[in-house]
Amino acid sequence: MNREGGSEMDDLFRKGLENPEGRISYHEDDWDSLEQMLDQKQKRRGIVYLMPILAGIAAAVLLVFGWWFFKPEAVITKPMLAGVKHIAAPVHSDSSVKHQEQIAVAPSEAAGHQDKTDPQQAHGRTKNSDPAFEAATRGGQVNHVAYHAQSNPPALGFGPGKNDPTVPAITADAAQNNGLSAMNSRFVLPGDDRHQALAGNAQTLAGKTVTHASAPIAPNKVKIKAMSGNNRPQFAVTVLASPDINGVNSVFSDSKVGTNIGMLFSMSLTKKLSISTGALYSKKPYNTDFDNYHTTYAFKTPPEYVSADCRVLDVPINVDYQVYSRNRNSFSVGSGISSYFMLRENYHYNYAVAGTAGPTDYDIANRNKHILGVLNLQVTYQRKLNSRLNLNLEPYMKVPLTKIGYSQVKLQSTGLAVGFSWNINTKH
Amino acid sequence: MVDEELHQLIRGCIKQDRKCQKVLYKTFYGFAMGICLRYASDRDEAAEVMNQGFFKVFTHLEGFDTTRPFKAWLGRIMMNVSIDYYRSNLKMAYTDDLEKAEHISDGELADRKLNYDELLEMVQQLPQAYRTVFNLFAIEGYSHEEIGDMLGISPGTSKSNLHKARQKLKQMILNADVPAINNNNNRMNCSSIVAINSTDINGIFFNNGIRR
Repeated sequence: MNREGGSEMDDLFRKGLENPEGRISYHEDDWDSLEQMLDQKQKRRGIVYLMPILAGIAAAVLLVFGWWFFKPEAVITKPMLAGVKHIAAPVHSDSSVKHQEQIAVAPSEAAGHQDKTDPQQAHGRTKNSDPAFEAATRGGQVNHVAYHAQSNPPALGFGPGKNDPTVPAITADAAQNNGLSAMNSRFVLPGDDRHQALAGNAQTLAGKTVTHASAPIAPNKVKIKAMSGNNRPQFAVTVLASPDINGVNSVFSDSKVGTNIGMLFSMSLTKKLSISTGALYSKKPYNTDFDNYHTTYAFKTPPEYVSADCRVLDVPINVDYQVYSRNRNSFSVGSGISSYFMLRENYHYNYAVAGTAGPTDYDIANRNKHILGVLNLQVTYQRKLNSRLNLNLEPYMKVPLTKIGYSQVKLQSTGLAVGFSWNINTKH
Repeated sequence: MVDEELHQLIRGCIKQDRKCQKVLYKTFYGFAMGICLRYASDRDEAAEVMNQGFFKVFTHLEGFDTTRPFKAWLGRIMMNVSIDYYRSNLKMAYTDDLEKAEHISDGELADRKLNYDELLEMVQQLPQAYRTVFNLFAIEGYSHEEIGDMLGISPGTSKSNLHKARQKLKQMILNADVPAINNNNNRMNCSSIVAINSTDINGIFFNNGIRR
């Protein structure tokens, strides 16, 4: 430090302004403002530090959820097979297989008639004098089974219509719980116009009623098969990048191009429906007239327009529906909601007359976030490159539902994302 | 406050203990505000800048070398945030018409009896560019080369701003002697000058703390 040509003036002020401490009174309001700043800082740090953790947890949950979905295949099958052994083995293990096949052909038919409890219909059936049916009734087993059927409503599944496909399942479940009585009641159900289906069996019914205990198991197997074939979720990781065209109020006028890069995890809910989430880092530059710009600062000379450059962490949750799929190509349409975390915002003020006095730049970091503040619309073309790898082309549009950033502008974005998705588990 | 107490307080502040932070804030409030008031145009602005300074203190305290005097470190941070405030908000300064202050000799000023509040008010009425240079040169004791580096201006501009600051202050001192009736009208003729106002600085993270 140098002291150059000290003047009286400087000395006067230096001496007069030194040691002002006793003259300055403490204001509690000042501390309150600082405390607010410190609290905000802690919150921001919290968000920034928690983001990777939250993303990790989200990914882990997604994966665990997936395992949970295709684990049940083994979990469900085992008890059912055990059930079959337990019930069928003591009686007629040889014939049980045969009956399984027969009844599995028309599970809904076999299960469709709960009207056995209607005395009038039961009577009508007797009148029918169908030899097969009579043979069955003569065998003396029907009465015994009918008793079980009436005394065990869950096994009968009263209520559903004739061809209600849920009935076999209900019956099968009940079979597990109710043992042979449930199985037997299941046998009684076939009715009037289904006699032909059971005609072959009717001859042996008297002697082999119990062997039909295995019948309810068959529909259940069908059910498991259907579940494992169609509902098994498929998981994929997508890495994508895109040019990102940004504009205030409209992306088609005075727009600027930024970039997006990120990673998404997706999970198929059904064959056609899938859900995805992840994180995208976006550079979003845009220009806007000063009229659209919002600030608390009162400009003496308002700038003509503002050039902004924002860095945004975009966390989307999207649902996609596949509308077309043939050979290796598929198209999906999708929508969802994004949360924007404004990592950094820079605003550059441009004045109509060069050299106008006024602020030129304003920087903000980690101040604004817009939870579920942006609507995503996208169409995805996917081409399968091999059993695991797909190429994705995704035109998208992001429409703000709230005003974005410090400037509070309606910032729209559009672009074409190009990416590769990797199937974590493939369908067999 | 003895050193041991201060160090204990600093350790508490490093652990983000809000009570320790408040005690430290209250202890050095007058000292810090005294610096910021000289660089600011009013008390509100000074309080805002001072809080930015304390914010830096509390977020960079773990980097403070406890073998060095804390007060000097704090004072330097307050000066730096004031300069950052200047740099982030003032891009250019207009020169203004200096009135007839040239003829007043420094010798005449020695006799003036002006208290702290009067002197502070005069400094605060200076345009920001002049006030900053005057503070750095006349009160902090920096050279024009150093000031030029700090503010991103040439040493020549620093000299020029210092000269104009002195002229304005002389003029204000002269006006302070004028009867009260004229006082209000003549107090400040430089409102049309300089002053590119500050932008909203809430949340601006100045210069990442300590001056390089």
